[in-house]
Amino acid sequence: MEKIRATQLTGLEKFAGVVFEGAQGKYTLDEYSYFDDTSLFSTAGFGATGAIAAGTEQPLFNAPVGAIGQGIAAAMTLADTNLERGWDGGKAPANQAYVATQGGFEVFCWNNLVPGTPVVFPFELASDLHQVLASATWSWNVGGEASPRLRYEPIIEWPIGAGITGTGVTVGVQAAAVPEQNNGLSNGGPVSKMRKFTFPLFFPPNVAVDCRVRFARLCTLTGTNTALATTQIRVAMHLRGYKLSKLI
Amino acid sequence: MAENENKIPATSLAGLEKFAGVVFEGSQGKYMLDEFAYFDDTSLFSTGSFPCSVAGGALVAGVIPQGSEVGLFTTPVGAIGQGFATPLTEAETNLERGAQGGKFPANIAYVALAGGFNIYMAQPAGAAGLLLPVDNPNAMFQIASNFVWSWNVGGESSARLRYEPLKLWPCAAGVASGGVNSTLIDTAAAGPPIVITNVASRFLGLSNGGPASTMRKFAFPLFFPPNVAVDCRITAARMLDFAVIAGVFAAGQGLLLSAGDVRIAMHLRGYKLSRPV
Repeated sequence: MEKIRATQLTGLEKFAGVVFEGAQGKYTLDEYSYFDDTSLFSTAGFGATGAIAAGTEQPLFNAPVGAIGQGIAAAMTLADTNLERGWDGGKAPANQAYVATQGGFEVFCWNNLVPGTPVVFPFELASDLHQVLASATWSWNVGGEASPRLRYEPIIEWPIGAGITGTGVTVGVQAAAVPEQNNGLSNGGPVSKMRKFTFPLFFPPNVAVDCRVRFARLCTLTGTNTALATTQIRVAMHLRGYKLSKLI
Repeated sequence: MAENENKIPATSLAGLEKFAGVVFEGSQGKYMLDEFAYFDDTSLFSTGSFPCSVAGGALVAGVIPQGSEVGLFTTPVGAIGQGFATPLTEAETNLERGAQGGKFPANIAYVALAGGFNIYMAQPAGAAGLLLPVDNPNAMFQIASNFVWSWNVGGESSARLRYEPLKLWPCAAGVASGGVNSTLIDTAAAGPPIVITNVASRFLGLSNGGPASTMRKFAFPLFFPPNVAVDCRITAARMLDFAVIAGVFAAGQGLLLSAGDVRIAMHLRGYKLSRPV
């Protein structure tokens, strides 16, 4: 009995017999078989204190679970990434690969004002969230200087298709000051579709992928909690696709 | 007549057609759906409970430590487990007794096509037992962002698949409207719950995703094989402290969670299958 070939998988069928030869190298998906149906995600942190300078950037899919990196001062948890230890630096092991068929960005806030009790929370102001989404762009390179860097649109064009809906009640501390609670602000919205890549985004075996988020413009934030010195803006890229193993 | 003659093959069911003749061989084992036939069109769900009230069951917000974990699809209806102090009812799971421990009988399997997580809160044991929507969007965001889930079939011989936080797995369910004079249950104070009327009509029940969300499809079916235990877990990847944070942010934006327990239910949509023994 044969393994399931990568080109039998939903979204990859049309690439049977196709040789990918472009700016990012040369490969064929026929050399791979299905290993896991899994999503891959990675989060970067940007210190704000009311502003993120133009040119600020962080890598994604570089620091695995348990490691420190990507602008986050503490070891990455499974809520920050599911990149495994064997994939450090964005380099898949020699016999594995990952192919993404769609992707999107989630943006939220993180605060450690009470030491030891960090919290994540959605943006308070739509204007702040828009500022971040319209200023941050992402880029992709495989193979280092031998390949060009692909530069994509601001992340507002890459909705996440996730979030929370509802207002909550007006009890306890909320009652007097904020009678109207917010819906959790999200990139796109809970009913958005994550954007499909026309061509799969490929993490090849044993070659480092260099994916970055970069603020192309100065990003000024004004929300009471968003602009705190202890608040970081967190940008998470979520990919949907398949982990593959190489046919030997 | 052969046992499965005239039965509907699993690979003729909606969502499974393309897997006819396909051998699933990945990190979670090896199987073929062609070996199975339709048995029931059914959803499967299971709820975990994370107590975060202070000792004694007082109705105050508390902490869920990092690493808190519950195994789902292990405790059937009528049994105690998954963080519950009392037997699970049919509102908490439809896992049957024969599938205890996540292990289906020798001739039965379950295949899931889509999945999502419903998040709500409940009063601790000893109180009125009210089930309530989470009362603050920041608290809801915290729960949906910090809890992740993972999946393993076959124990240590297989990899544990680690998935994204629950907010990436909407439930496609919830309360959509506040009505004109929505009544709310205020459990923040000690003593019996107080029913108050929200004349401002601003209440919308918080949900993971929203009622109009689409439950996320698995590109490959999630499979509960016959006679092999599935180990599905929800884990707090970060600490959640609702009480402390309520005093940090500007008034009204705290992470208040006024009831005792956080309840997280995983809902799967798929089919129960049978296999000739």
